[in-house]
Amino acid sequence: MLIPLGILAVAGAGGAAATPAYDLIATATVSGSSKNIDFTSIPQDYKHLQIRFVAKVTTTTQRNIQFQFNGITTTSYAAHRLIGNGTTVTSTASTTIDNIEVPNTIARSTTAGLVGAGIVDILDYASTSKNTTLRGLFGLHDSTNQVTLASGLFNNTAAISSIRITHNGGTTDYFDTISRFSLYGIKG
Amino acid sequence: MADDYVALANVTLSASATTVTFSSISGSYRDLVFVASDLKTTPNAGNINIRFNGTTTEYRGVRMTGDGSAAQSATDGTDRINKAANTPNAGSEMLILHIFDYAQTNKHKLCLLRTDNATTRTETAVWRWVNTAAITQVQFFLSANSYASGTTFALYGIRA
Repeated sequence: MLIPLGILAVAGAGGAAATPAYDLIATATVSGSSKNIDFTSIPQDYKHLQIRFVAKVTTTTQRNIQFQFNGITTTSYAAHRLIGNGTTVTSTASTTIDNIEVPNTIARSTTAGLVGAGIVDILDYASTSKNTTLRGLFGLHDSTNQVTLASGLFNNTAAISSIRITHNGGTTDYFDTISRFSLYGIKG
Repeated sequence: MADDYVALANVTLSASATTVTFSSISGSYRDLVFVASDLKTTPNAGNINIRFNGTTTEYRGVRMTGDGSAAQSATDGTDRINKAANTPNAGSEMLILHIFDYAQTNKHKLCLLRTDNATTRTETAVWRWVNTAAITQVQFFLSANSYASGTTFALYGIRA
């Protein structure tokens, strides 16, 4: 069965518009000279947030993506991971840590065009009565091949107004300009 | 504000089919999401295969699977994206395929795939199509047997 999308688009035209519920808030500019991606002044009128990304660094070592909220760099975070590496399935945990980290999610510079990717959901981010939870699906097919399901906790009930995405590399190990980080708001 | 998660196509099979192809996909979005629901095959079980632009090479993946008895992980390097096991000819299975930066010509195409069947297994995988061409066609096909009538495929485009 062939579905030519041009024809379907015409056939579907003219219906009543649904209320948008999934909005692009921002796509970060990746300068190629920073290891940090910051989303700031996040609007508070959505129910959940989603980050979609592809990522690569400028050095020859795969990196672990890290998330921090509201500029908090103290040990206010925890994370659990279920990891498949092509041979075994393992589970890891980190508690009382200074960021939510997911290993082997960012491609190294070695192979042109190769990136890691992920989808991260941040639930009830604007609530001030709940600690913030994060869940994500990540994948990388590089020197280390890995698919990961992860959950994270920000042990703080403050509404999330900023998100820093960084990695475990050095200060001069930058996100490559081929990377892309997009933040979406989901209404509820 | 415009909705940035756009429904592009939705089809429910009125008869069995061995192949479902989405063609002439617009390059106006950043990511694509395919959702297949009520998946079952007929007359016997068969494995879902996925190809881009009709290309039969350079698909490489890592899977993680739980079948109720064991958790397993395996690699695959082959001529298509597929799952660890067949979609059964009874019950119902769902599939969600995310394709990142599908229209970008400066990167390989990375995909995240989830398939879930309450009676057999849950699986998640990362697949890399080692090709920088923009994806304009996505084909879901079975090597044997057919998708049963009632199977639904939906395509969404996400703006960035």
